[in-house]
Amino acid sequence: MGLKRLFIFVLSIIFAGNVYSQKKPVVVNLDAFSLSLSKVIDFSKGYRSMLISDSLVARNIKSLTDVLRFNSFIYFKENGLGMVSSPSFRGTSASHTAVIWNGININSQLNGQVDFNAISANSYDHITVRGGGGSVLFGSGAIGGTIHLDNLIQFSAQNQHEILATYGSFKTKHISYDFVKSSNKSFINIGIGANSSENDFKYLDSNLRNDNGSYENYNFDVNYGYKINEKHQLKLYSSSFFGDRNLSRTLNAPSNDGYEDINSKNLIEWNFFLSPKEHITSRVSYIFEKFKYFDNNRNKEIFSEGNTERKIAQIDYNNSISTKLKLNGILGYEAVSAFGSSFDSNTRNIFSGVLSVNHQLTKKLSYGIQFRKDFQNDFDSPFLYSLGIEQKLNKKYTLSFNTSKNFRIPTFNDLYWKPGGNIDLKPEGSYQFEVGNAISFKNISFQVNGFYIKSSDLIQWIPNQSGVWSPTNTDETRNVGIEFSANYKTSIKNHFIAINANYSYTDAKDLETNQQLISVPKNRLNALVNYQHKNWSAYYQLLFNDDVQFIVDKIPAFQVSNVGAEYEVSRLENKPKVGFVINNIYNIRYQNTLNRPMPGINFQITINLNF
Amino acid sequence: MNFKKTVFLVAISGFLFASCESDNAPDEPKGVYENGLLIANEGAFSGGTGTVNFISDDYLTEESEIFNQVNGESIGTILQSIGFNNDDAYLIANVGNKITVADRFTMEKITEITTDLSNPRYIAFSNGKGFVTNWGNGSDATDDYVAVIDTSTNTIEAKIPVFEGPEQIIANGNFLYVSHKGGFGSGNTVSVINAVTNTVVTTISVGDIPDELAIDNSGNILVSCEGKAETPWNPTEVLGSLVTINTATNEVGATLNFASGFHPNSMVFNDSNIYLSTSSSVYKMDEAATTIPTSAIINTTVYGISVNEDKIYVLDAKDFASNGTLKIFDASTNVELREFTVGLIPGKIYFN
Repeated sequence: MGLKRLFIFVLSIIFAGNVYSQKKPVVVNLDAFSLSLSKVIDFSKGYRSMLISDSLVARNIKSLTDVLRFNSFIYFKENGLGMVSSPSFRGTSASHTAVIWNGININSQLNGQVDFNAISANSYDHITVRGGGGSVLFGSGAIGGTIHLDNLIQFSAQNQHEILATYGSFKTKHISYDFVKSSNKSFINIGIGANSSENDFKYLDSNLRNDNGSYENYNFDVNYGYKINEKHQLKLYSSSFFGDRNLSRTLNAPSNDGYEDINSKNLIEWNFFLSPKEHITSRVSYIFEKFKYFDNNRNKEIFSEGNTERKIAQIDYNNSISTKLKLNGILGYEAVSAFGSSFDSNTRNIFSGVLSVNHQLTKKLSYGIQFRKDFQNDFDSPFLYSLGIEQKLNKKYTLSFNTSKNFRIPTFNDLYWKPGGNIDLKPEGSYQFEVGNAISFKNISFQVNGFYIKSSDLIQWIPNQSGVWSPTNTDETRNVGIEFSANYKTSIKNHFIAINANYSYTDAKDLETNQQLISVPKNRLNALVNYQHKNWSAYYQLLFNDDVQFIVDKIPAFQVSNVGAEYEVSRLENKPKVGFVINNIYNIRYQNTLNRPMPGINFQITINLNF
Repeated sequence: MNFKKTVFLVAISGFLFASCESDNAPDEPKGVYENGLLIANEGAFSGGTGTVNFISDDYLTEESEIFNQVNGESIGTILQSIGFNNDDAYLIANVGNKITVADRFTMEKITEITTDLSNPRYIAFSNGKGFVTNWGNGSDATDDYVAVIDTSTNTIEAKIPVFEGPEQIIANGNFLYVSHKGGFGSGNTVSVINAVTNTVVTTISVGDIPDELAIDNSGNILVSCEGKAETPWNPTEVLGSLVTINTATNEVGATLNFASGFHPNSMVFNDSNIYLSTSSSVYKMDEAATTIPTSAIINTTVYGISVNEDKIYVLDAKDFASNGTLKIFDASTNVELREFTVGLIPGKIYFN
């Protein structure tokens, strides 16, 4: 389907929708409007989303890896504490989890991945984990699931300063300051943060230390909103990150490598509310990332580097035709350019069209359908779809189903790497379906989801005829699994107890070799017990990670627990909160990736000031 | 080594001893890994370790990870090569920046060298010393050296600065010949080191990307040069070549260019024959031949080859993500005799 024809198709549907629209007006909350959040909430019928609460983020503030490792289903292949960290969501590969910043897919254009230790955990108001394919809405790489990082610009009176500081073992420090001032006309939020660590912990049962593991990083964020009038709002989002890391040794090799990265994400958004039920959002975004890798961090004259620059423009049209029917059409253009030590300067242009319909068919049955088609200069992009259905069987039980076709386009590394890059690659394709059951009672709720993902034409780097490593569309994989979560809450007088548990079973297979995929734990469990009494709260965090196959080796299963307590000093005017955490309380020897030990028992104190 | 292991070793050595008794040469067995092959597997790059497989000459015994089994520790990341000095094996972990010295027949660890190494590649012995090529940073042309090991203390006593990317090293009397593959770039020289004075005597220009070295029956040094294959990233092919260096004059005696598309990855000299391999075939030529071989004697995937006592040994690294294999061929008929599964990325074969 040509772009023009798609556009006409979109328009005709919208028009048709208008004809049959009902008269009941729909009220959009104009003062807390977030287009990107609405994609996760309104246009994700039949998909499971999990909001990571602020208090969980504050406890594991060091990195997004830490936050999500203990609170989601995702397994992280963290190459040593604080080092490069990539996700495995539902058994998929590192480039099959997309990270969406305020609605923009920010996966690297070079390797398709996101390093979860190169994203600050304190820069976002909402961190949401959405399971399952989302390429239609969120683009390339949204196969296993998506992580949404959103800033909420609200036009209501606020004036708040927050300081969060932590200090812990191995000279691990965090300090961040966050300021919000807003009125019914304007909003400003400024955040700055810094993390650093010597990270030189001793490996348990070894005479080695985690040498060359020190890191530091800084983030700077500005979010600004201005309400021009009742019809127009202007918003600016900007988030920058600077990281400087040495890359730590392993049990089998020392290291003197170093790695520096900078990324900056900038977005200007204009919301135009045509009527109470119709709005158009226009966005332009500029994103750049660059890294430098040092083979010897004592000689910074010699390095290899990569740089990418992206310019994005989008028009997003929303029409809530009735309370029951919502329509959304998006037209997008993206220009990407990249240059680096290992490839020449290259550019890529992508046009995309997305059409979404959300329909509440009956009181209990609702569904959403979405389509996407991309057009780009290098190769043919597949036609993508997504369908989600939710059926409320009774007050306590909701059954959901979704199916989608998703993709990942070859990265600049895949296409242009010298030597080895293969310009004849085609996009990876993946289709999947999922059944979800949500059951909720007064104090307890359960969610059980079963998924099936089949991916083909997966890009794999293997040595070619002349012995040069080169990517080809060879692999085919099949992942099936179950995700189970339970949340329990109770209170006796003023004692509050909350228990959350997430368990997943994943069976991921390479269909060519009939072998289990590497770096996928079959069983994984995390649990959190929270207790609160007056100004006190205490918690126990547990993570069980099954055996992980890594090439010909096996990373043994482990179980690690953290204990923490927090106290709010209510006597003082600003009610500062102090906290203390003991990580790995049983001093367990464990590894997330092969022969990269994690620290034994370690400590951290936290102070949180609001004024 | 635990008690069970000791019992096992005693039992095995007893067996070997018993089997040797019928022979007329009742030599003391030197260890359980005598009379067999050692296969050096590079292992996984990220956090992994190199391993050694043992296969007995009679093919009855196969053991994997023998160093790790005997010593309860690992060799280090990327086992690049092993060098032998009498009964001592020097296992070179390239990314691990470590040389482990072990008894070649028992695999029992003697000591390790971890200082003054930077991206070590290969070792040769001369004048009672070990000489180890070190790349340093693969993109830094000024930090390359040959480390000199005092074999009595197994410590590094000197560093000889050399050109970029010193790869293989071979001893010819008191002189060492080093091929400069060129690190992450491409080299085209062989340097000659005096093992008595620890100095570079001369540098000889050869073909592009010189790698394997051997000494022929006339005492010349043979150098196999990979050249550069034609690829989308390298539009102009540079032919591979076989260069002969006259060791009396340290000058190039002959250069034999290979055919277009022939870029050797291994070379072995055995019994007046030169064996060369590409990634998919093994070729054979007489040392006196003045023309290049045109047809392969064996067609199979090749990551490394070796030839010994009428047998050709071919290593296949498969997909580099699962265990590789060793295929053994009869050198006179080129017929495959046996195939064994070995470790991850098997690179080198040695004969005990």
